This record gives sequence, structure tokens and C-alpha cells, in this order.
Amino acid sequence: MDNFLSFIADIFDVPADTLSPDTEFGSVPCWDSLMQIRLVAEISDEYDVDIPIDEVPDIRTLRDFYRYIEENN
Amino acid sequence: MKLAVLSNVNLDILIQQIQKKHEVFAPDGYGQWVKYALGADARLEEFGPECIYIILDGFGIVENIDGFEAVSRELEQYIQYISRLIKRYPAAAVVVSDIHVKGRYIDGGDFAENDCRIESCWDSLCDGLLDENPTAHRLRLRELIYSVGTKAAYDAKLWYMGSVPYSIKMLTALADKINSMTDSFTSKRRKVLVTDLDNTLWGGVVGEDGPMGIELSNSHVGAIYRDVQKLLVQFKDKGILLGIVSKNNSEDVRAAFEQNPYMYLKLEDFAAVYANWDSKVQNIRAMARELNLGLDSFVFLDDNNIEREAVKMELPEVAVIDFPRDAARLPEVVLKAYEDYFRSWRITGEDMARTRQYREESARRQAMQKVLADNFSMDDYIRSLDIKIKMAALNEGNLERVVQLLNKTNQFNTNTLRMNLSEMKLYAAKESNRVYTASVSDRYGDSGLISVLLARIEGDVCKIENFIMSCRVMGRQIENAVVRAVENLMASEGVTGMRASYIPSAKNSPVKDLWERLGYRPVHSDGSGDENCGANADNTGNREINKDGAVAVNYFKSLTDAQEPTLLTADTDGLT
Repeated sequence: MDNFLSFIADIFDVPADTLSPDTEFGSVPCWDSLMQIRLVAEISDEYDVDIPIDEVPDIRTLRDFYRYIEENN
Repeated sequence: MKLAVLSNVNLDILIQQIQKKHEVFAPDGYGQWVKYALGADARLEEFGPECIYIILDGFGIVENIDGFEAVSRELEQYIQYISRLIKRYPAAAVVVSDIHVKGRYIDGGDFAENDCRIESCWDSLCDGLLDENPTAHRLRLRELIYSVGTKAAYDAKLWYMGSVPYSIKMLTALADKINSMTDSFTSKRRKVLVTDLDNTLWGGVVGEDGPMGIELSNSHVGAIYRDVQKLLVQFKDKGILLGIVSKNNSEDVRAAFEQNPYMYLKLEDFAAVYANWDSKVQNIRAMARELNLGLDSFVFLDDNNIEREAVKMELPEVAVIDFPRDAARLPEVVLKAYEDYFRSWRITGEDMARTRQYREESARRQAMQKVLADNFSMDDYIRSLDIKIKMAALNEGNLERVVQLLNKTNQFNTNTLRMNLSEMKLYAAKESNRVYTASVSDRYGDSGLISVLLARIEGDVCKIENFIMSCRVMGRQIENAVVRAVENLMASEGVTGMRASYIPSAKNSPVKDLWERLGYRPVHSDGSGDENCGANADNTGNREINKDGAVAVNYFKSLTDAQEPTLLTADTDGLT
């Protein structure tokens, strides 16, 4: 999870310790709808996971994203 | 640097990536590039971009248009928009991408499809745009897509979720491309590539393996070095000077270049050759002096780590290329050095002739050193050059060059009178006016048209209104011969006196004493030499302030006196 958070912090361009698994869509200024789709693409690339397009609207927290990585393992 | 990235698709992720390095304009909403091109939104103007990128996605263009004819009409419209954008931002570099049209039809079997035609239609429209606009440049988006891989470059999910056609990988590659292009607009271009020979321009050591034993061929390892040489020929054609600094006997080096049939480079392609056993640091310093260029114009290529470190240490201004451990990567490294240090966007005829001119000039300088070392005089040196000066009037063939010289010459320019093409034509068309040009060649080469003299005849007096000469040929008394030739021509037209003036500018101090040196004496603006000065004249009696506030110094020379002969004589055949 820590690696995942620092990967996200890099994309957000914020310090890693400001993020937690419960950080939510909209709670970080740069996490807007554009960032949402960027996260889908960045995470899919980095962790080689598939996040189906119809499930994207249900993703609210970083933990929701992380679940795809866990499932994949 | 202030950048704007405009597009027909959503590139906000790309903009986020570039923002780490540059100040980037944030368009409101995506796909709005036309709005900004047409100036319908003042925010871009307020932002003041120094560099504008227009990234066009091929699929985004054809998505809602069917048929080649309709698409090509749309593309023609785009060129109009971009032309207007370029005119609106004359100081900005405008970079336009080429396009890649991603397949959108089911495979047509054996029949060719239209997508390639759309790509090349845009290419040729852009060729026209770039021809007409020197501030416009091309970004090779298609090549970038190919290098990422057409499958990996696009991301269907990003497209359907947010109209972002490209994958993160492609967006990152494009951000890198935009950053490096932007850097190339601002960074100073270097001028000289200094290269070693053994294991750099060929494999092996010529002193041991002999001119035919070195590795250089059309296949296998020898082809690496052939390819490097082919690249360096292109460097030279783009106006980059090549220099050799090699620890070798110069006869061995000459033999290799003359005898090995796979040698793509010739010795004449190098502006300077230092094949000896002195230190490379010493040789590079000497080359900088010979070419009259600062060390910060030099880039050094050498396979030997010790040599590279010595140059880095002692000549920190010189850029040193990281030589690859694997020779197979050498051509790629040389190509990258071009991008990093030499990249230029437009090549002129002058760029292409640069190596030859520098070679000629250094041959002259060596001859001068030899003549002076043998206790001969400067006059002896000038005589030894066997200089030929050919004078001509203005004509269609030299008009452009005359105007170019008139506008870019700063040092040897007595009056700094600038004219554009049509003003020049008007000036020359007047009955009283004369435009003389001088072209010069000597035993080392042809310098072409290097001097222009503008004169106006007023009764029995001729007034020289401007006299300019390229600084390349200064110091050879060519000006003496040109002015004398004009005086003789004038005398034959019945002129009895010559008037001339010097208007100081920030840069023309080299001609401050020109007229006195040519036998002209200071006088009042009306040509008289001994009356009281006017209100605007100072106590030397020959200065006046012209309408632009510049101080003109006036001179006169009588043509009725006997004239001292000049060292050189200009050929005025065909002039009246």
C-alpha cells in the first residue's frame, strides 16, 4: 500500500504522507474528474490491471483503486 | 518559458506534465484550439505565449467527417486558422504537429484506404505554411506515435471516458518532445564538432592497422563507423563545422582519408585538422583560435575516457559527448548530440557554405602568419593573396544580396542607411543615383559580393551616401580600390569633387577614420572647408546633427589633384 500511495502522491504532486487509503475523490484539490480518468490510466499501466470503464464511477477512495491491484495478485 | 498547448482533443494530462517545467496556458475546456487561433478569447493574448504548440489528433479530425474531399477542405481551413494565429503572435514560435490517422474502418482487404492520403495532404499543406512563415515549425507527432508503437500510443478507455486519445506512455513521450523542442528554441546552438579518429570515425588504429586495415565498410562493425561518417556529412551540410583532433601522424591520417574507399568524409569536409602528438586540450584551444570561435561553441567526441576527462577538466566550456561502451550505439549517440547541441530549424545557403568559408579564412590567416614571420610586410601579404575585385551595377541577379548586405552589415558601414527591396529599386532607378557592388575572390576562394557603395551625383560633385563591406574581407585594402574605382568612374562623368560622411553607430567604429585614410578631408556639410560652422556644428567644423539626432562627420576630396596609386585595383569593365 505504501508504494501505491507514493506512486499516487507523485501524480498528485503532493507529499506522500498527506495521503491515506481513505483519501477520497474531491478531497485533494487536484483530484477532479480529469484526474480520476488519469488515475485509471496510470494505475492500469503501472500495475498492469484492468479497470472496466463501467466501474469507474463507483471508485471513490484510493482504497477502491488499490482493490484492483490486490485482486490481480 | 511561456507555452500554450492547443489541440482538437483533450491534452490536459499532458499540460499537467509540462507544467512541472514551464508556465503553461490552461485552455478552458478541450478541443478549443480554433477559438484561440482566431483570437475569439482574449485570455491567450493576456497570457503572452512565447511558444505555441498545436497538436492535432488525426482521429479527432476525421471522427465526424466522411470522405477525403471533405476532410481535405477541413484541413485547408485549419491552415487558414493557423496562419492567422501566426500573424497574431509574430514573436512566438508556432509549432504545428503532423497527424496520424488511426484506422477507423474495417480492413478494406486489398483496397488502399484514404487515411494515408489524409496524412500526406496535411503534410503538404504544412510544407506551404512553413515555407511562408519562418516562425512556424513542425512537430513530428506521427513519428513519435510509431516509436511508442501505434497500439501502445492510444488508449481506448481514456478516449471514451475523457476524449483523451493517447495513452499515458504516449502523453509522457509527447511531453518530453515538447520540452526538448522548447529548450532548442532558447538554448545557444554550438558551432563545432571536434572529433577523434581512431575508434571514433573508424575502428582500429590507423597508425598500426594502415589506411586499408582500419575497420570501415558497408557491413558488420565497419558499417557503424560508415554510418557515423554519413551522419557527420549531414552535420556539415547543416552548417556545423567539423574539426579533427587526433593523436596520429598527419601523413597516416591523410593516407586513410585518401586511400580508404569506404571513407564518406573527406579531409576537405573538416574546417580544421589537428593530427599530431600534442595534448588534445592544447589542440582544441589552437583550433578555437584558428576558427576565431569561443570554446563554448565546441562539442568533443572521443572514445578515450582519459581524453574526455582532461577536456572536461581543463576546458569546462566545451561540451563532451558521453561515448557509448557499446560501439553499436555510436550512430545513435551522434544523432542525439545533434539534437542536444546543434539542432537548427532552418538551413540557409550560407549555412551550407560555412565550412568552405572557414577553411579559406584559416588558410589566409596561416599565409599571413608565414609572410609576417618571414619579415615581409602586410602589403606583401595582401599582394600574395592575388585578390581580384570585380565591380558591377545593381541588377536583378544581385539585388537580393545587396539588400541583405545593406541590412545586416554593422561594422563596416559608414552611414548605416538601411533599405528594403523596393526602396533599393526606387533608389537605383533615379537618374542621379549610382549603386556599385564589388565581388572579391583570391587564391584561397571566392567571397562573392561583399561591398556596396551608394552615390548621388549633384552637378559636378558626387556624394557617397553609404559605403558598406562585409567584415569577412576587412583588412585587405579592398575598400581603397573600390572607392578609387568609383572616383575614376565619376571623374570620367565630369565630377570634380567627392563628398562623403560618417555617421557613428553603436557598432561602426571600424570605419571612423576611413575617409581620412582614403585621402578625404573633414569639411562642413555644405562642402566648404574654411567658413564658420553652423549652429549645429561643433568646433572641429565638420560635424552636424542630422534629423535623427545622429552626428554626421563630413568629408571632401577633390578629384582634380593627382591621386596616389592604390595597392589593389578594381575591375570596372562594363560600368560607365
